[in-house]
Amino acid sequence: MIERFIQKSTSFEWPEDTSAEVGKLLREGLPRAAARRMTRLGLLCTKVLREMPASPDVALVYATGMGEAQTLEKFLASFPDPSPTAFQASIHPAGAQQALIALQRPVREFYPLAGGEDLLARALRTCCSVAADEVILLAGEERGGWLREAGLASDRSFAFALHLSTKPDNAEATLHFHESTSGSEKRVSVADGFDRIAARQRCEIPSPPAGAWELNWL
Amino acid sequence: MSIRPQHDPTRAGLEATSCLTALGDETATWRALCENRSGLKPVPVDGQAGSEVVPLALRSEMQCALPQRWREDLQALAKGANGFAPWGEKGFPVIFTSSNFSIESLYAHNVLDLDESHLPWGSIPRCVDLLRREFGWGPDVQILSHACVSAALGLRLGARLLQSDFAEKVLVFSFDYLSPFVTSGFHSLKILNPDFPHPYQDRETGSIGLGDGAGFAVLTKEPAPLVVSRQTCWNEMFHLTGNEPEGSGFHFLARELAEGLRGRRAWIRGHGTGTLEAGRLECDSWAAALPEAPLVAWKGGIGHTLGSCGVVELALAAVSLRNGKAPGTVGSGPPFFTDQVAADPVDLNTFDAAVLTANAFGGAHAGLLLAHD
Repeated sequence: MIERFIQKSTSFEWPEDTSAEVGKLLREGLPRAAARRMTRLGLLCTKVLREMPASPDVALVYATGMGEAQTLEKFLASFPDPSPTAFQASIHPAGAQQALIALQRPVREFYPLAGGEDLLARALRTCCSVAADEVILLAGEERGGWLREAGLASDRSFAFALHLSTKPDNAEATLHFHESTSGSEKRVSVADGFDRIAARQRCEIPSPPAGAWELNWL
Repeated sequence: MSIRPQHDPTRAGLEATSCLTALGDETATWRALCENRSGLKPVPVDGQAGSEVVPLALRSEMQCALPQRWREDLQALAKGANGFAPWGEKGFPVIFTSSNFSIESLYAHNVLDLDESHLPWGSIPRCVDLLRREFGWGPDVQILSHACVSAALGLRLGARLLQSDFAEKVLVFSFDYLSPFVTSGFHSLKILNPDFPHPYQDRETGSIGLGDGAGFAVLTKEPAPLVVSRQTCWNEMFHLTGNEPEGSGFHFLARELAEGLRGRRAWIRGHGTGTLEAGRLECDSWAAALPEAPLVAWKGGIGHTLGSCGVVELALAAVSLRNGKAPGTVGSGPPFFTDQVAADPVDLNTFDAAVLTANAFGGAHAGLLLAHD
């Protein structure tokens, strides 16, 4: 049976009604010039990664459906004089990269994933496929503007991180893969996963075409 | 005999690989590159007459239309891949890699003011889901995007899925076709300019050429004509686009790959886009780690095919191994940064393995060894 132990979890949602204050808070302690240019998703990734192990030998799996939606909108709006800053920061996986650069954390294995309703399931499989014994799953979305209205970007800004290990000591939760599901085929999106992890709720994540991931808190 | 995980955690059989570039399929492209022919041509950066011209290697005119100009190419590649396994079904995942997917669809809708039918394609997951249904693939499709190491990293993840027993075979499918969104972005960074690229040439200013590219690789646990191994990656995380000034990532990659050769004689197909800083660092790293190996780069002929380059150039390297000859550093010439850069095609009869590398924004590095089993 495929099994991993979650040593630590962190999560944070950016409340829309307090945008300026949250941005100021999340920029604290970061190099000023870099922090000014960071995207909302980059700041969120930095926030949840801070408490995670910092070693090049800990693998990182990053999952985001649309990534820097606001920056992508800014880059498109900059035509006919395209903005180099917006171009750089709109490229997947800029959110995680900004965080790792701000925290000065080089990493050997780094798998940036995109996807839709099965993204979380694919990310968990990737976490259990890496060569390293320790892996961090970093996931998040950035609330879009017109992209959100068109149904192409998230309506929330949030991020979470899980530290998964092959070692059971001091684990907060367990992750198992089952060949069969308990019957529910309802997909669990990255946003759904965020809600379950923030609330420390049990979660079954179908992984089509077969099997499911089960997250249980200890 | 199956691949033994304890031997190399990133080893996999390469059952098949194919690609399309501005110069044709893998065989036609290999032949053109061996003749030092380039597909790069001066093209207005945003496709509009009157705009600055930049070197692009296109398979067709750069348009934002539906169906997209790359659809038929991808359908043809998928048809070629479909003979190897029931892709997307249990045990046969697809890793779909690209840097830009169908991002031109957002440009079409938002900048060119074209109709809403473009919009769904602008979403990476929706684009891939539409394509997988078109190709007849099952739901096990995973998307990986890490700028210009996307395909190279997809190969590594594919090998890991095999060795973790999540898969029997893996299809790594990749494409990156140019659009005004992408070309204008690179142009804004000033690394895409009117100069044609001269990879590894020691000159005053650097430049790159961009190209259309698509391809696939079928990875397997079973014996295969070729094997990929020692898949190595490193992410400097020094700057969003620039490299760490000492070239730590280049040196790490070169050392790891050279160690993996275990005495085999190798030739190197480097990343070699034509930028000066990265080209110099790349050459320095090979001069330190593997000074006897000839170093070639092909982006002066096919352009930098961005996220697809890891698979596109793998297919070209596979043809090179089959034919015993590798194209030289197309579109370039001396003075080179180091003596090991080969301008002309390399006779491979005395070599046992190929070293293939890719680099990306953010100091991302990936590489592998390719050899006959």
